[in-house]
Amino acid sequence: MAASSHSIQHHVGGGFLIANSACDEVFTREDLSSAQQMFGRIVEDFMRTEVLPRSEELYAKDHTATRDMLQKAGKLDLLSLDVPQDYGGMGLDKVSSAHVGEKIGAAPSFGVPVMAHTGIGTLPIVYFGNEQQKSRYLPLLASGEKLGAYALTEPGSGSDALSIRTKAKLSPDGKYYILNGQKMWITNGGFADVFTIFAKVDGEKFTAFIVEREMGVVSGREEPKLGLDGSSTTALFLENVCVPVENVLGEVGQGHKIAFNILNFGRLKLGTVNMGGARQALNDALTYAIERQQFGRAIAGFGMIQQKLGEMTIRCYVGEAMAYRTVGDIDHALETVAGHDSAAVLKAIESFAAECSMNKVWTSEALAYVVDEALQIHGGYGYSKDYPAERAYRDARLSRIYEGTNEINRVLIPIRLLKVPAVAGAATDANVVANGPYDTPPDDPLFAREYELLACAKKFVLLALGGAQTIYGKQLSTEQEILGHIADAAMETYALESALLRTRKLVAAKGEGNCPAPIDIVRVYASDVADRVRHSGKQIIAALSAAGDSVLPEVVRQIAGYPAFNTVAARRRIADVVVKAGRYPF
Amino acid sequence: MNILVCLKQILDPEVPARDFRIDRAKREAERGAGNLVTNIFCENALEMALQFRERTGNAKIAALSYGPATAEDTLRKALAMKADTAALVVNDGNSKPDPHTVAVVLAAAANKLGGFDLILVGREAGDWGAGQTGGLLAEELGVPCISFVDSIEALGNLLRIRRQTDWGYEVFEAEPPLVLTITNHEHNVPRIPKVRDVMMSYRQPMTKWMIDDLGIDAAAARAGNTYYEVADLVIPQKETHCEFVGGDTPGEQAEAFAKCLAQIAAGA
Repeated sequence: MAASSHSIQHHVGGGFLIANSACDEVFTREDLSSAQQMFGRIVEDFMRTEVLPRSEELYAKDHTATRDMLQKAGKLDLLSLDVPQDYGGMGLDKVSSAHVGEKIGAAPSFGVPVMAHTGIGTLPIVYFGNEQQKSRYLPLLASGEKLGAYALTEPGSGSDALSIRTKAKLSPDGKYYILNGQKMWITNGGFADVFTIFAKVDGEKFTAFIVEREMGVVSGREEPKLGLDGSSTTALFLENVCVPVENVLGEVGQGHKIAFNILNFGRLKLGTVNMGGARQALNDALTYAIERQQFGRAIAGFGMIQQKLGEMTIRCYVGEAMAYRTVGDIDHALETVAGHDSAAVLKAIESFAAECSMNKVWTSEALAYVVDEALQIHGGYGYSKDYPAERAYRDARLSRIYEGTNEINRVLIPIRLLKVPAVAGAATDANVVANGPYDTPPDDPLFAREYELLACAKKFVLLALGGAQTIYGKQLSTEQEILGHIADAAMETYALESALLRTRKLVAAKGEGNCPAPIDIVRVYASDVADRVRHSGKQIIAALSAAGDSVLPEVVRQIAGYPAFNTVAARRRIADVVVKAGRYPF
Repeated sequence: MNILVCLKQILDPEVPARDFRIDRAKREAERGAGNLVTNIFCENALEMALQFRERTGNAKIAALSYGPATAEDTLRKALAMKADTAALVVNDGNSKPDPHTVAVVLAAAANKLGGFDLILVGREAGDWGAGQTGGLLAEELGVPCISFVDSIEALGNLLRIRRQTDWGYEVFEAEPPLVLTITNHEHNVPRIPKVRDVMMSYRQPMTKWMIDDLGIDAAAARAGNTYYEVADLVIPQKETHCEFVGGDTPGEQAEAFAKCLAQIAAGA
């Protein structure tokens, strides 16, 4: 059955594929309240007064400085946003927390230690700790008196997390678990006080433990890394570490629930964090491009540079639209959930796992593009440590690797989408196959073509999901390349719709004449989405040809028919706007 | 001690010079992508009041602003920094009122709030830098004014007040009520509010008045520009040129350099 009215559907994970959101139903960055903006300004002031003056210490890998800054951030409550008020935290909404993440993301060398502490370092206890564990640890973690870290990865176990070899054995008196093993790539590993460590009880039962450093955790040397100089990354050595049985987090044998849910949770904020880094890199590039004179004029006026500045602006705008939309939807979903009901909160967030993965992949790749072009705009100076582009380039690289590699996340996106009953139903619904996911696109003269494209793209993603599921059944998860192409098409669809809705909302508030750049951004991005989805479509059709499906190729032909748009001129116009403003103005 | 701190919301003066734009026809700065912030000297004043309260344990601090509806953000931040109360007089008239109009409005609001021993204002605002409001406010209230103050201490019924001058410091002992204009010092760098206090600030009540609520000539206040006019507004053009001073020996070079300096001085 084709859906036509979806005021509720869009707030469900995966709902974007089967529903048509109105712009006033989504959250955009422009909707931040004055209190939320003030939270952001607290971070800006903190960065200006405490972090930037000491950036050379971070650059010199002085992690005492990192720890000191973290504790100062704690005094301003910046480490306790996601901790419930009952345990010394702020219990803030996710949009506020994500906005703070955006501001911290502007300086990743400090931002990563903060996010590691507040996210994977603290949240396992927030969501899986018992009353006694929460009371004991959360106030200390919220204030920054104790700093947290998360230890899952091992030398031989990365994405395949359940294959860890660290063992836990109950002591003869039944009072302790004795942990033995090694962990790798632990953020904050050099100075953290409290760790969530995963080990297998009796070599079998995957279990999480709250482990204090004093219990015998030994840090390895600081890993020599490509970037994130201010972030401590070490191995951890566990040799007969005695952990009291009351420090088992959750239940013995149930550690996988913690491991995977916390990664979902971490991804929730990565969208805005990545976009904070992209914003900063774009602004640095703009500063340089406006000031750098060649052939008697600022290089910001040259076409090649303008195309870059235009595209960087597009990526920032679109990424923000996606990221704030998702966190806004999650906040909306959480409104009906009691804050203290951790299981219900986790379930609500987990239902957006596909969106969280899409944000993670899309924004980390947008960040990669922006820092790369920012360096390129700087020319030879970009390669010098005297300019910020070099550091941003190195710092950004990890964002495509951590919190689940982009490859793992691409595999997860279609699998997660198919787990949403309404999506799985629509993907094999004969009516959807014939008519698309909804009856009629909105009547919107401004974006009529873009809405048509979106309808086709959604139909294409649903058909591809349905086709792949039908052909491969339970073996689908091994067809990683096909899953990756479907994930790409789904991400582009979500990104385009998010950008369109953000602009629609801006136009509604300010009038069409006052939003030329946001309108251009949507049109340029739609043009590129048509090309990219068509590319994914060709691969998917070829791979699924055994199904003898004729509808899928027809949809791809429709997508390919998206009319040509002068993206060169539009990117120039977008660049003119950001150059005139002197910085990213949205 | 009842302290009133007056705060002005302005366009962020920390915007990089290259991003600063003006609308010459309107004779005002363009907002562009700039943030609205609290004038730094006003925040220095609030910080001094907060520290005075912390030292003496005996002061109530009220924050007052005259400005557009957005100035509520400035007052919320003041509450988050831990001012006790806040009051906003909404300016629905001339968006660039002259300093005397501002002083009349602030004085009327201060009298309506009532009973202040000490009124602190920034020494000047980072937008126009007129630096007149403090003195005019004291005149309207009929109390003495001390300007460029960077430190206050309680001294029995008196206050010991230090003001900066071109040649050093002057120290006064004065009896409230007083108006002080506050300048910046390493000891009054405004604190960053905590997230918790920002949250609380949005739950606190705020007094809001229109100009008509103050018992002053509302039409004159809305007109707001009787003696003060911006005739023109331009961004100064910075011109630099580089000249190499010749000479074969260090002595000749020094002599040539000295002559060069003398010429510049003579030209000036």
